[in-house]
Amino acid sequence: MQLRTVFVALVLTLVVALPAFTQTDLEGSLDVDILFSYYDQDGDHSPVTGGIGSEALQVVSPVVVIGWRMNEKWTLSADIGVDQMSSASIGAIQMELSSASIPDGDTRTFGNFRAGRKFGNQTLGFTVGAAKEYDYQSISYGLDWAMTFNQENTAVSAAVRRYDDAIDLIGIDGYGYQGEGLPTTTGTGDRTTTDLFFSISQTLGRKTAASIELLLSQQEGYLATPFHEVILAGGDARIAERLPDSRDRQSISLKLNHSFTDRIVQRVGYRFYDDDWGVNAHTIDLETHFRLSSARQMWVYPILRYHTQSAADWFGLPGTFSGEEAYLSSDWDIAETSTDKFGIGWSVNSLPGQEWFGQLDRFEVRGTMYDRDDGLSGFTTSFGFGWTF
Amino acid sequence: MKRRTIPILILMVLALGLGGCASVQPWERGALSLEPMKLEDCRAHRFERSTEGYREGAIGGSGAKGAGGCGCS
Repeated sequence: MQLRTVFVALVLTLVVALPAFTQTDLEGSLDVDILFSYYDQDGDHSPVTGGIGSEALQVVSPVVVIGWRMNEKWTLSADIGVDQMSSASIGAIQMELSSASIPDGDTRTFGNFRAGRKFGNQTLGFTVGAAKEYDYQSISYGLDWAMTFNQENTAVSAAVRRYDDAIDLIGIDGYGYQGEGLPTTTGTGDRTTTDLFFSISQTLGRKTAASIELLLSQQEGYLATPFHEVILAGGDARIAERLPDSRDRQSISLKLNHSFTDRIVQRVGYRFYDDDWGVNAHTIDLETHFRLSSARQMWVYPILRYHTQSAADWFGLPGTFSGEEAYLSSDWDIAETSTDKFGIGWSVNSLPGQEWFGQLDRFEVRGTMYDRDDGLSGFTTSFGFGWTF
Repeated sequence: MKRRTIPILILMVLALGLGGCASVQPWERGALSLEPMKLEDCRAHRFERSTEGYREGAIGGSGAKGAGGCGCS
């Protein structure tokens, strides 16, 4: 509730303060972007009901992103947002907690703040963030560093970020209940995540740029979702999902952008992922941008993505567990799956001195369909409106 | 530890290779300054990344199921 209050206060402050910023001789500039997304999915493998049952879910997400270049050295930025969710599964979880009121929605609020300072060709930044949902609270903090050289043809960067989460242990049938004959858990569980990120980007010629990114992530603590059910052999008994209390993840990503002409740009991305739960994955992203005839930079592009992953060692179909296993889960998010995503995007960027729909400087819209081969399908539409003052 | 050594070595080798690439002068960067040539995602893309983080176990820890929150039901 406090985060929601902070969010509302910041938005109100922004609305009141914006005219003042535009009338003041700032040494730097202020970027304001308002983003909005609607996501809708459906499927029949909900882990909340043991890998069977409706996965119907809708999420509405408004986000405000602010970047203030105070002067040549300092930059402050923040993003604040809300995910408003509505799903059959959340209703099922909350029904276990209270029979008097059974809302079928949930709200996740979050905010991040970053301060960065330039030191010649290097930049050092510090980030703090927080997020809250009905069953968890998270705070995060981190450092980032970047350096450009070789006439700005080469950039290297590194970042570390730590997340400290506290999770309410809501079980499969109310607080703390893990299944018949199993001990009841109480209170909250802790989870920590430490992410290390390295990247190198390089221009490979007048029309080509590339980057390599490496992510190392280590997690410890309560990594299972306590209200995820597992259906044991025979089909009647249900117990809570059990997962290890640590997980090491790593991924390497390659990006390559090439401009065939001033009007056609190809973006290619590949990512390999591996972790110590037995999951490894390959992902390919493709976008071909076509410039439309306009005084502005106006681009339209098809979006294609293919992802394939192997299953975690602990995943099993409903009804295949004895209950004696150390770890067990029927969450299809860690199953062997392949997904296709396709869609279309449109972006407009005004050139300096131009105006488009008043003072709008940037506009983006994307619409994508998401199909996982276990039957899950989803649709995302997202918008971005940006101003520079 | 070996699992992490291999990608780090790959990264270092590729970094050394990229370091030897051509240097483009500021007045030759017309195509590189086109909006789609930016290596980072556009801002509206963050929502799809978030969804993929929840729906795929093979995404890094940050901002997804592994780092707090459900969004998964």
